[in-house]
Amino acid sequence: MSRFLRGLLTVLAVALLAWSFARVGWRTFTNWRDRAAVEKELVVLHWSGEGGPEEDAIVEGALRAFEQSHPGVRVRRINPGDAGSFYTKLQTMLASGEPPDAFYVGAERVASFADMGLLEPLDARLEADARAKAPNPVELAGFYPSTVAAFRYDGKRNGQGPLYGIPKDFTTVGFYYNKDIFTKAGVPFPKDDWSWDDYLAAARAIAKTKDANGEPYIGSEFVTWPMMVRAFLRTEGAEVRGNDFDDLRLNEAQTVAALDRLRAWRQDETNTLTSGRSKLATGAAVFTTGRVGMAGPFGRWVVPEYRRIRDFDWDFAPMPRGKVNANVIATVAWSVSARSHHKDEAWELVRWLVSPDSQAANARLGLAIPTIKAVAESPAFLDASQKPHNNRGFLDPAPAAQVVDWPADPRFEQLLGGNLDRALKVGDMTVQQSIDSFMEQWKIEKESPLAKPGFPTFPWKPVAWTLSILAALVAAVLAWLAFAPRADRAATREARWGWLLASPWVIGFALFMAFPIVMSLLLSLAKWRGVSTLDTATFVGGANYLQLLAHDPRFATSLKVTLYYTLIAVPGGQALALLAAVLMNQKVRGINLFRAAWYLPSVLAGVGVSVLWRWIFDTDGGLMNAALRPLLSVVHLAPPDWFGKDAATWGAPAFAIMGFWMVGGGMMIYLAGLQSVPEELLEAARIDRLGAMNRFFRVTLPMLSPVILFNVIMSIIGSFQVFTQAFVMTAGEPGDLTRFYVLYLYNQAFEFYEMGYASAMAWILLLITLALTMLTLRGSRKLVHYEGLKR
Amino acid sequence: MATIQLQGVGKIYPGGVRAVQGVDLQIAHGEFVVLVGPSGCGKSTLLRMIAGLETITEGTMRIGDQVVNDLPPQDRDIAMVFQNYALYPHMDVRTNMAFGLLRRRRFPSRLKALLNADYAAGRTKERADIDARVLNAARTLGIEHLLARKPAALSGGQRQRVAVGRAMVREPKVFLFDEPLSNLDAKLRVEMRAELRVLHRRLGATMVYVTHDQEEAMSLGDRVVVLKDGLMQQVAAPREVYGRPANRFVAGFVGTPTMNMLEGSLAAQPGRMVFTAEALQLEGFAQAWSTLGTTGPLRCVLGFRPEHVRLGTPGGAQAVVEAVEHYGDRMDVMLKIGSHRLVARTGPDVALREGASTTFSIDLQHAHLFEAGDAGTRIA
Repeated sequence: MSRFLRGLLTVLAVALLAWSFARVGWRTFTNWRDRAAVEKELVVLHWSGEGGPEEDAIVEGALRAFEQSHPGVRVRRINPGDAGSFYTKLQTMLASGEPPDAFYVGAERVASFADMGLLEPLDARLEADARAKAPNPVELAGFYPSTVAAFRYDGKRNGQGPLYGIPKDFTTVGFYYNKDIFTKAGVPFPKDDWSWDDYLAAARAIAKTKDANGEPYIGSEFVTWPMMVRAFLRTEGAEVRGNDFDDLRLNEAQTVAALDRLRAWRQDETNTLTSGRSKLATGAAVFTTGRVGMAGPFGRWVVPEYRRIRDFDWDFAPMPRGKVNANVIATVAWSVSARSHHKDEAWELVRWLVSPDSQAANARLGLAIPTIKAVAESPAFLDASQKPHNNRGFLDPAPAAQVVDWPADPRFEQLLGGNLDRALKVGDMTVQQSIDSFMEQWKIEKESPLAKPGFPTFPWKPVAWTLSILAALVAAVLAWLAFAPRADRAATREARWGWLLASPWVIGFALFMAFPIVMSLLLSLAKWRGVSTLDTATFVGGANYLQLLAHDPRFATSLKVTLYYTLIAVPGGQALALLAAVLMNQKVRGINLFRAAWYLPSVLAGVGVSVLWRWIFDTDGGLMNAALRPLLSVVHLAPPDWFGKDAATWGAPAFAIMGFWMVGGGMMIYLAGLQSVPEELLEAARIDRLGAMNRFFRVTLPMLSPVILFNVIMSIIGSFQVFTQAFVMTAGEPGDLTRFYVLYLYNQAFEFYEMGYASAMAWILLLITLALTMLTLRGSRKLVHYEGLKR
Repeated sequence: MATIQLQGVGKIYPGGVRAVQGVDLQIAHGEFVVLVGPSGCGKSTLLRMIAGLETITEGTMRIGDQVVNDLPPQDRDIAMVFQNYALYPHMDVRTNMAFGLLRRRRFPSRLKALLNADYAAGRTKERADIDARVLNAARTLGIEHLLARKPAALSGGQRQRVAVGRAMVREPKVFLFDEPLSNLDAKLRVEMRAELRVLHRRLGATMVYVTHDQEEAMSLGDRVVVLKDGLMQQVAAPREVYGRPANRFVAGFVGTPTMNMLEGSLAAQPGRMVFTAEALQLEGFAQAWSTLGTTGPLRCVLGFRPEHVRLGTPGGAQAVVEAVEHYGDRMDVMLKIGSHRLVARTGPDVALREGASTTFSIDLQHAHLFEAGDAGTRIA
């Protein structure tokens, strides 16, 4: 490199560094200055999943208008994206003790959030507004009553008790239908008062109709989300609970019978109902393929996606009627944080955000239905120039619709859904068996010693003191090591400079590695919900570990799933990587291109790749089965229903196969290893009259053995950390058949808010990996030859 | 019979580089032939072609009576000792030596031995034979006590012996050595050289040996093949290569210090031959040369070895002593005569001072005459 170029680059690097520091410094300064200028700052947290940028813009507009009319109040808006990211962000904000002042809450979370004391009760404020004749009060009487009831919770059940949020929009549910397929099948379009018999007749007729290619259509997509299963049960006059969740009614004859009907439609008939085979297919997306007559039960939220359909005509019909006319609502409210420092302003903001004008603006999006009756019945919502045309189909069921409530313990919903899916989706259990399994698991949760109160507060003070003293001691020892004068002055100086230059890393390690490690160890001895500050944690001793190891069947299941995966992914992946490396070690023209091609998949981002593979493993339309079908048909076998019926056998292997696609990283290491095997050694073996196979197994492989050991250990560790793929592709479903260890850990931490339990899982994972690594190291002693490295 | 015959053997790499060309060479049974030359001369390539590690692109090669051009190394019945020994690091010395035999057993299967008594007996006997051969070779090389060690625990010389032992155990038709001593220190190299010589006499096997070290070549070979740029320069016994180098290259390559070369012209004057190189005039050549240069002055290169330059001869020409190298038993003296530099080798007791002048004479009876130019072939 020329001197000029080097100088130029140095100047540029320095300039860039200076600029970035100046930029950040200036931003920090202006932020601080702006914040100092306003008296009050409100933080608002919301999401805009299906509404996308339009919803984002509407909230932004409403907030800026609020600022205009309320001088001195600034509103900072945080939109992490979809509902999932929203709840994660909310949790971290709550845990840090800096909750947003106002935020979205879905009706399904009201019980658990209210139970944790996160939400401000709003009744007193409504009364005060009424007494003071506030300018634009919230007139609850004008709201759909069931939407308001959804946000009342008395500690046992929804519908009564204090009000924890003002609903901003809602939807009832029903089926979206493909008008073109209905016409082709000669089935009349559904009416708003249709019955399950009508629904089934339509589905069966469609299943007998064939498309231009002679492939039969599928009658209907019927998702088995717990909420929708309960919606179905309600139309049959059945429920999973009595007055509250201490009184479970799952075992009642009519509940079992209704569920069994649903199971039979799905499992015993061909093409009448498809269950989502994979998470992909359970989503709303399957309808857009144009191969399904009906899809549901879905609410209004699929409309933005369906409006992009150009290939066929469609509309909406409310939930069919069974023994009774029933429907369910899904609704989201604006709530005020119980720990806000500016509750009055936050309440004023909520009032602003649920005002008729705000709701009308939102309604025009078509995404959700206003909760104020007058707005919903106004042209703002009804005068849709766009599909669906049957907007009344959403409004008319509202009086008969109730929210689907859940108990404060978020495990209930996952356990219920997972177990029922074993009957409804996988089909390896009867309805009764899946109910029994659920009841047993729920009993374990309820009877867990961890679920009972009475643990002492975590002794943070003595622990903190002890740890601080320990840390100070360690720091002192390090400092002594660094600065103690040595015999040799040059050595002293070298040591001091060494520590000085290493200090950024040492400090970083202490803050970002050592501290969290110690914290997680402490937390594994605690019960902490992770949505409040640490002082609310209680000390449970080894109860987390005991519960995990002795009582939690889902922990055992997740371990089994993970081990099964490891058993396939590690040997298979390593053999494949080695084979690929041997191929890539050939001296062929353009070999670099091939190497890059093999390596490429391992640099692609996890989520994108997972989405891609979700399509590949799709049972009916996926690439994998399209390739397998002709091969397997020779021996009269059908390709597996990877994440559906055959998930117990093929779920984890599917992830292993997906992993095989990404052997590039291991391959590169093997390739480097292969290239360091001295050519002479192989030549000597040829002269020793060894054939190619013998040369590979007797010379190359032993020389490669340290590399193989390294790769195997890394791959075992990696296989215990499978998360992204499972999270994106199956979310652990069906049942718990693809719930990998780390996914269950994630569920505990971020869905059930059991940080202590999750920390304990993390430490058990560490011990398992450590044990497996030691076992591998011990077991391979005779097989690994390090002599090749000493040269 | 383990003869090796090369007829017009050549090697052209893909891409057109000619590594070896037109090699005609007959190696007799039991002969020790050394291929020598500077790096890049094609000597290793030629050896590897004999081994079968490189394909032969031109000509024919026979080992015994068999044409081996297309025979892979494992079928040529040769053994090779590599420069870096190429011992299998993951096996002990015993296994390293027995490896080739173990992989080619007639009774390899442990399972069959369990089922069939005859097979088991054959297997036991075969195994015992192999062990005996290994032990025998180890004894010959004095490495019995190392049999259980792994290569990493051996010194360079020990590894070299193991590598030789591995070749011996196989009892091949031909031994090939690819610079086997170049990784050893000087003293050990000289020792091993002698041992290899003894070994050769003892085994009576055909051996082909590659080295870049002319001294090693001269001391080891029955015959020496001097190579340059892929071409054979001379094939002869060491004595002849030294005494009658075929061309200027061989003359310069063989012998330390290198042969003195003067460029000039040889002319016949009445009754005597005179060689003129600028200001320097030399005479007193062998009688045989008197027919040269009779048709006029002959442009040529005169070569003479340092040991034929005598110092301090009364009446000799004047020269300045530039540098003196003492070797204990002898001295090499750098002389400057006008624009020429010469090296003289003398006994250790001559009193010389660097920078002082001295007289010298040259014993031209042993001089060599080459055609002018770098590639000049021998005239006389």
